[in-house]
Amino acid sequence: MLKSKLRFLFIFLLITLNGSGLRAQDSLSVDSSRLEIREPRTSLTELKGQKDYQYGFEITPPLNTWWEKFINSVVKAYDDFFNDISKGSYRKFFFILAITLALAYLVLRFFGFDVSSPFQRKEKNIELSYYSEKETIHGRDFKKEIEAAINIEDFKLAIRLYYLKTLKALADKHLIAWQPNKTNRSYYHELKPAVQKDFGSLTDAFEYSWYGNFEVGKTDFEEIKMKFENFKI
Amino acid sequence: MNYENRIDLSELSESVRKIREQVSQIIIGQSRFVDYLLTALFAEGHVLIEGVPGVAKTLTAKTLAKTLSVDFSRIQFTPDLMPSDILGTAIFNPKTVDFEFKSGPIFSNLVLIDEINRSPAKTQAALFEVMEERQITNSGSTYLLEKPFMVLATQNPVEHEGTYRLPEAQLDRFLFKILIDYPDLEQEIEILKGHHLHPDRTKDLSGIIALISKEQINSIQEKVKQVFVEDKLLEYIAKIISETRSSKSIFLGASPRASVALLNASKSFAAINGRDFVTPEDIQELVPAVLRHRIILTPEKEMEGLSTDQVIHHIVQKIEVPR
Repeated sequence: MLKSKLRFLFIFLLITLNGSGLRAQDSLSVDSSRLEIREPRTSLTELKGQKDYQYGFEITPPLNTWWEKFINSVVKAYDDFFNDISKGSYRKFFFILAITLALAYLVLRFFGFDVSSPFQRKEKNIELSYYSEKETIHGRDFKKEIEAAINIEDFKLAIRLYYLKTLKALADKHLIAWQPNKTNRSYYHELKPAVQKDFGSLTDAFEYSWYGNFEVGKTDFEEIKMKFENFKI
Repeated sequence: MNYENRIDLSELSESVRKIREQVSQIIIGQSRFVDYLLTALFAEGHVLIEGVPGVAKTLTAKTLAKTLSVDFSRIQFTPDLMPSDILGTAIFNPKTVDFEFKSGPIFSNLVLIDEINRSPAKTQAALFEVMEERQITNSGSTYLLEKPFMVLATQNPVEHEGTYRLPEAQLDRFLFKILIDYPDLEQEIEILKGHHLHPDRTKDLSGIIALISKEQINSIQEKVKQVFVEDKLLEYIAKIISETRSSKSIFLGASPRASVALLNASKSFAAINGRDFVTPEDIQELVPAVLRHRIILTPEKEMEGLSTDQVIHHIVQKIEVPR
């Protein structure tokens, strides 16, 4: 019994509330006021004429400076040049290419670039150019120089000249590879053991007198001179 | 012709012979290294020793120290080492109510700094004054170090983690940078034989006896200064150093301190070889050890894989030996 009464109440409320919603929709007001239409103050054609609205292209100013004139003439020459090539005139092409390369070479040289290096084989090691202030053994008249040194009793110089003469003789016979940067001991090690002992003795004489500043008297010199003259290669 | 030296080098020659003999009982195949250490000692120079672990850098230095009757101290450089840990510091004495200077381990005749590149620049900079001027300034007071004074520092070239590159100013204070290489096959076999027969040979240095006293070292150092150098050889040294400054391969050339170092080292090297005069051979021999830590190659040459030793070799090749 209670159940049927509740069902009735539910259906009643459903119908009643639904009906009030429909009534609310019916009460919406309609905006019937008039709108004021505004017209642009300037016309479209007038706006188009203004610079700020022209996005499509830039108006280039007339050429004034000498630089602009120069650039323009270069561009024109460039255009003419390629027009000529397209017509088959290669002589002009090579002429201008040669001038361009010459100019590029001069500019690179001016700024200190090594222009030749890109065409040369690059070495892994650093430069090995040897420079010598004075060639010490070749192209000298040792006999004459030794005689002159003995005459003025400069025995140290005479020993030095004898030693250089010995080095030249060894180099001429390919027993040593002469290089001014080598030390006397380097030459000593290059020689065959049979020659090493005598050469070592001559080297001592030279080093003690020349680097060691030892006094060399006439008797000492005669003894050393004999050693040099008896040195057999 | 009489080739007798004008300076009496007999004591030096005898000492050098005995030191070589003693060191060779412990160290195999490092005779050249020992000669360089002695050259530096008598030239009053310091030595930076570079080599991979296990090539007897520290052992050689320790053994050499044992052959000399001098005060020896060893400092293991670590990242947290402070300058005061090396030089010393002023400590308040409550009895005298005053600060007293407590000297650090650098106050010794022979100082072995192990792995010098493990400490940051701050600690390394503490060595600048002591290495160059043989003195320490602390709290306005100057403390002079006793002669002889020599720093032997070791570093490992392989490890980079936790190491700091030595500043150029400090590198320049080392007379030599010696590179220790691996022993050759024969020497390696000899090392193994020695280790097999006497396993504790390298640990027990009690058999090494002191051969030269401080006074003798000081006397030899004075004699070395008198070694004769011909003018042409001075010019030869100057040309080599000058070439490092104009070479296209070198970014930073050698300083005038390098010229003086090469001169002093050559005199000492000549003396330990029994001569009282320098020859071009002496100079050529020492050029790499004197210059390799004082020059910096250009980045291009470094990228090409060139070493400083190769560049130095080329420089020496370019210059005529005076004859």
